[in-house]
Amino acid sequence: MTVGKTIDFVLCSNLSILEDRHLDWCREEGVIVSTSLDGPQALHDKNRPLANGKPSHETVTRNIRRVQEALGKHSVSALMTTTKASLRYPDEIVDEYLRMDMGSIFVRELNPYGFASKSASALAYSSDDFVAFYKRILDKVIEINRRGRTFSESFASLVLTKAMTPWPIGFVDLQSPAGAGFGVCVYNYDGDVYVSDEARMLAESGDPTFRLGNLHDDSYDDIFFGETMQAIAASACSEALAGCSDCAYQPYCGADPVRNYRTQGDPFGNRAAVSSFCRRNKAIIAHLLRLVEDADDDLRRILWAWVNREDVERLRLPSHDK
Amino acid sequence: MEQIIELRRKASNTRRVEHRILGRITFSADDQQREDCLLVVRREDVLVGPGGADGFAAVLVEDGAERLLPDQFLSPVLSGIADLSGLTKGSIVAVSPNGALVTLFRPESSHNAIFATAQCNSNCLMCSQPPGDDDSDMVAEHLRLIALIDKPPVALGITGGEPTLLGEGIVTVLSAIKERFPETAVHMLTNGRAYADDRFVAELAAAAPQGFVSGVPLYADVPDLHDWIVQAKGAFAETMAGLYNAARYGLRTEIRVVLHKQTLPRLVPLMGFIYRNLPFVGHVALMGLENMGYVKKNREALWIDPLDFAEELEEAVKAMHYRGMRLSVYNLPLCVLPRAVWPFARQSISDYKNIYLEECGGCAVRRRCSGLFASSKNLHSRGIQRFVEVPNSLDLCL
Repeated sequence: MTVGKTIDFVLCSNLSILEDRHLDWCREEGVIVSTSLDGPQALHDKNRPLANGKPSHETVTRNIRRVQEALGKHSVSALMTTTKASLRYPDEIVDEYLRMDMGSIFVRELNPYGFASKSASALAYSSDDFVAFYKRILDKVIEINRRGRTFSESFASLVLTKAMTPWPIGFVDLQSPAGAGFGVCVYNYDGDVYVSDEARMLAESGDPTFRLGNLHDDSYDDIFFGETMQAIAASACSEALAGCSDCAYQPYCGADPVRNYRTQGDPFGNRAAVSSFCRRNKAIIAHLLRLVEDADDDLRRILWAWVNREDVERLRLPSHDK
Repeated sequence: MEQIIELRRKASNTRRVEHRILGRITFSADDQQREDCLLVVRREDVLVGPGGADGFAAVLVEDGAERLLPDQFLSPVLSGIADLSGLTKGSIVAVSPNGALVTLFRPESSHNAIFATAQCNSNCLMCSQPPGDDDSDMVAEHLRLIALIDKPPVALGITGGEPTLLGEGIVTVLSAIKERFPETAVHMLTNGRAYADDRFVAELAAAAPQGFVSGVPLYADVPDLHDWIVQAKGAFAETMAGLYNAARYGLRTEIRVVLHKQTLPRLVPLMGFIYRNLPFVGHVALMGLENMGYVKKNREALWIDPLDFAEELEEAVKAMHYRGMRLSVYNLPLCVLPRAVWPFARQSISDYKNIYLEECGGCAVRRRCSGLFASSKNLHSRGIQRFVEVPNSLDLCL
């Protein structure tokens, strides 16, 4: 049966294991790869030791190269998770991405799940620290594009796509209704169904609040229209959430009930007072909109190139002879 | 100055021309399909033998060539025509009892268009072809024209007037083109208002040939300004609904914006509006004014020298280019355009009314330049100038 949908498949892997048959399979099935790269060797290895305690940077960078060669330069992208240690190395982190011929960097704040929440004191930093770090990286990324190399920051591309185009982005963290359960769900290896990967992580650390059901025991309606999903739905629209509904940045932001629950104990949360999600997103969205508003012609071309996945130089137009 | 191709001629005498006749030009009395053909007899031709002029749709005789015809023959005849040079074999010409000859189709041109109807339901301030009434059965004539074309044209336009006012008739015409010339690129200029009727669009989409494009004007991002420019209340809403219906039924569309004093104030916002609300539009054309029809009488309200809207034009072009929307600039010569606009400037003016000025002689970029409308010969930008060499920054776009 065909329903006329095009589906992109992305394999999310730390690339600690990558056999040639995996690459062959990805090539044959048109699957692209998403991985994690936190920066230069010392930083990455500090953040991401392998389960056996060994360093992973050498392996992941070698395997990124293998994917690039086997599937093409644009078939592998990476997320960069910011820890306290990262804050001191914005330039080095970007340089590592350039060295690896990546087309973009996705600068991510630490998520309050799993190991990250256990190690919070050692890893954590304030939202303001993150925002300053993010802006520093963004400035550097823009300079790189001004010099003619197309290289984007993915969070900026997502917010700008929402602000500048008629297109939806499908990015779970910036959706209203929330991505969780509406735009995404997670099927676990044991048949458990979660509203999001974050919900699955929460369950791994002992709290199955956002488990929708199990494929072996529950019907489609039980899973997607059951009580858990209804609880999500009730807190899923930023248009109707206190503190969000009258926010100027609401159209560019999103609702995240799972995160609210994790950080504040209820899925509605109190954004203005204590939400780091809110504090960070407001500052970054404001910064991005300001960039658009004040953009000179070169920057305008660059931002559109990110949004439209174009080459910054290909969009350049002739100007009067000097 | 180029020579303008003459489409209209006049015969001083007609015999046996009882109604309007369409025929295909031939120069040979040996032509096999005489009933479809108009035999051309020119002064320098040889004598036409007995029976050599019989059975044609009509015989067209240049002034002074009457002596070359047999004493007696039976075809309708138009004679005393000043000059028949420039008529090419395979051209389709309509002749009338009053002696008028009009060339409807020239096989050597890529600018041929079916003039669907003179009627229109809008009355645009800058209409170059003001509406009127049709004096014959237009659909029958178009079907005859399509039947007479002997080689598939690469491109064929449909214009007017407002072609959709033919209703079912335009669907019939499109079907006929599709049937006879499935490969021909057909482009129809329509205000898209009739497309607000989704049943009509469904029929049109089913009949239209592959690659059929509707060129639809949209002059502002706000209804009252668009309605004012087209002099029809409610037109904006109908055209917008029409564009969505076109997309829904898979009809390709192009937006056309004529550049003048009334459209320029909202030009840049209009580009953003099209991108946000009509991103499925395949192409946007920004078009210089043609000094014909109503433009002459509304000149004060319309004319602005392209040099004086260079900034808005560049901004509009960049707005679309950066957004990844296809855009072209029509009818404006390169010397009046900012450099950033040059890659988008096309040679858009139909060959029969395309001129270059004295200043254009020896210009280094002329082979890429639109030139001017013949009607702009004496009324054009103050910026017309010759380039001695191709400007440095433009190697890529020329």
